[in-house]
Amino acid sequence: MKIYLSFTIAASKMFFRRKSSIFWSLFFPVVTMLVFGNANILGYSPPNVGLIDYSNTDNSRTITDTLKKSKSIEIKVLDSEDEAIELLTNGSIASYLTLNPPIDEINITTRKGDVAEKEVVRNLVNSIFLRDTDSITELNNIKSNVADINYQGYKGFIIPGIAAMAIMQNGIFSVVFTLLSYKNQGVLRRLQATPISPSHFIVGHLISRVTIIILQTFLLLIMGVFILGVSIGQGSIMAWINILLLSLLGGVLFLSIGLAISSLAPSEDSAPALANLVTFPMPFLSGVFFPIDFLPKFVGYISNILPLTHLAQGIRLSALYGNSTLTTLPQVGITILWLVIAFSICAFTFKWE
Amino acid sequence: MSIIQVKNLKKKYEEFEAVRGVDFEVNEGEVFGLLGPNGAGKTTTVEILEGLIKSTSGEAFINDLDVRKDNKKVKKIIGVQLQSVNFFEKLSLFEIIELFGTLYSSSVDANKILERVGLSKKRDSYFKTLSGGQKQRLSIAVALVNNPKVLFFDEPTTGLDPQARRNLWDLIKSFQKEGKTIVLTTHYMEEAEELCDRVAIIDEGKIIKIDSPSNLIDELTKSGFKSSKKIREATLEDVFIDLTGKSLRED
Repeated sequence: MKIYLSFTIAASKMFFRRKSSIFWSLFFPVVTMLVFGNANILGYSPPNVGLIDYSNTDNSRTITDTLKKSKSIEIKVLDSEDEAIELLTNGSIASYLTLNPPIDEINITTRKGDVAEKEVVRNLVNSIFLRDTDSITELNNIKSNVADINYQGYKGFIIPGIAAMAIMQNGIFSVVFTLLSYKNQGVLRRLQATPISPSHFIVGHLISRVTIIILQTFLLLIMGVFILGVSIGQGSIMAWINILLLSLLGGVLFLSIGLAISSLAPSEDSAPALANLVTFPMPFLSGVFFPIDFLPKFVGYISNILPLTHLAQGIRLSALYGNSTLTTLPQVGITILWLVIAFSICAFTFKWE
Repeated sequence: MSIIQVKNLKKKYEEFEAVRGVDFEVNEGEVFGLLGPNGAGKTTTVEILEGLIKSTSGEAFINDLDVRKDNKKVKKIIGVQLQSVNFFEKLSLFEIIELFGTLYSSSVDANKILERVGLSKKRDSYFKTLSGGQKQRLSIAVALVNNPKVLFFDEPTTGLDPQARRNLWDLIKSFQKEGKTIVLTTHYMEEAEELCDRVAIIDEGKIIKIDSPSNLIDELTKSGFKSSKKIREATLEDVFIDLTGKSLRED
């Protein structure tokens, strides 16, 4: 036990003394956060709008069809308000409409603070019916409403994404670059000449990195609060605990993926190249910078498999909407599933000596 | 009294037999040299004794412990300096010694060990910043953390300047004075002559001869060998040391 502790402390000291590790785990993600957080990338898409038809009359069905045909708005027909709130929470839609009896009144619900969305949708709905006068059966009042969900814009979207990306990078790189360089330089071989096997050092190194990854996640999110003014966790302790859990799981997961990459790489030199091949495209496919809905459908299927997608989404739900572990079960579950797979691969293939 | 016994030791790699049946014993308290050209099997033999690689066949004992079966126990009583030296770059020398100390669950006075090898002033420097000679001395310091009975030095002076080399010789002699047994490999014959009580000359994985350096020289001269070079009272290295002084340059 004492030996693991000594190795963990030693590995942590080495991390903080290396400028490049500070650069990659803090400086780089923060700069990315600042650059992208101030760019309004999400503003250019047709709004995704949910629609619930409570009236279910000929008239309301015509209104629904008219809206669905329009290219300036992306309508998702939903069954219940619960479903709408869920989609609103995870960002798949930015607002939803209800058609209410008896006069098919349209009610727009948006998130708190999302005034722009409300106006955009109201005007779009109006213009669709003005242009297409034939199909107007009876378009009555348009009312608006605000759901109890905070809208934090693209900043809110990108900050948890960057935090998840940083977990991936730190996890994979600290194995594929740092640990492998110790191995290649013969540092671990010297440990073999002591009564303690080098696997103790490897474990100490991993413990140290998981701890650093958790600290890094919290630091990045807190910097998001102070620099970009995003509110994180929504005052829910359970949300923060879930972020802690996800960064722990994500840390172990990506360290395991790093170990798996280094043992599956055909040669020692090819491990870093292989790691880049994994870490470069993944953030773009995993909803770090933009929602995966923006990607072509077939790419979306791949995205839904990737571990970073679920890690990023889980952290995002907790950070932006205060979701607890219970309400992010799919994300936490898939992360654990990936962890089991990656851990099994490296348990069977990684050479600890 | 011998402390190391090696019996018919062999190491086969896929296509290459590095050690082909080596026998020797090392007496307690002596400096024993393994001499031979590159690829002769010196390092392989030493690394089998250190428990770093496993022999294909044959036996080796250190202090009555089988290096194969009692691998961990053997490692506790030996100190090792490997041929290619590398430690954690971003740890200070003090931290490296302490870290290795914890691996033997023995309390270590890191300052004392660093003083012993003349690295006191460098105690807070990173390994990365050391010169070649200093790296070798740190490597020797690390080998001392468990107060070992037997020390293995694999080409400790390769690439060092004459001052640093002589400094290491003095260090090795002082270990012998403390009663430690030392196994040393080297390419430098004057080094073997200076330090070793006995040497084994090894080539192509086999030991050709074992004896004390002076006996081996006598044997050769008795057979009628005449050096083409005139034997002089001093060597060029003596001149070099005389002109540049004995003190170490890097500190």
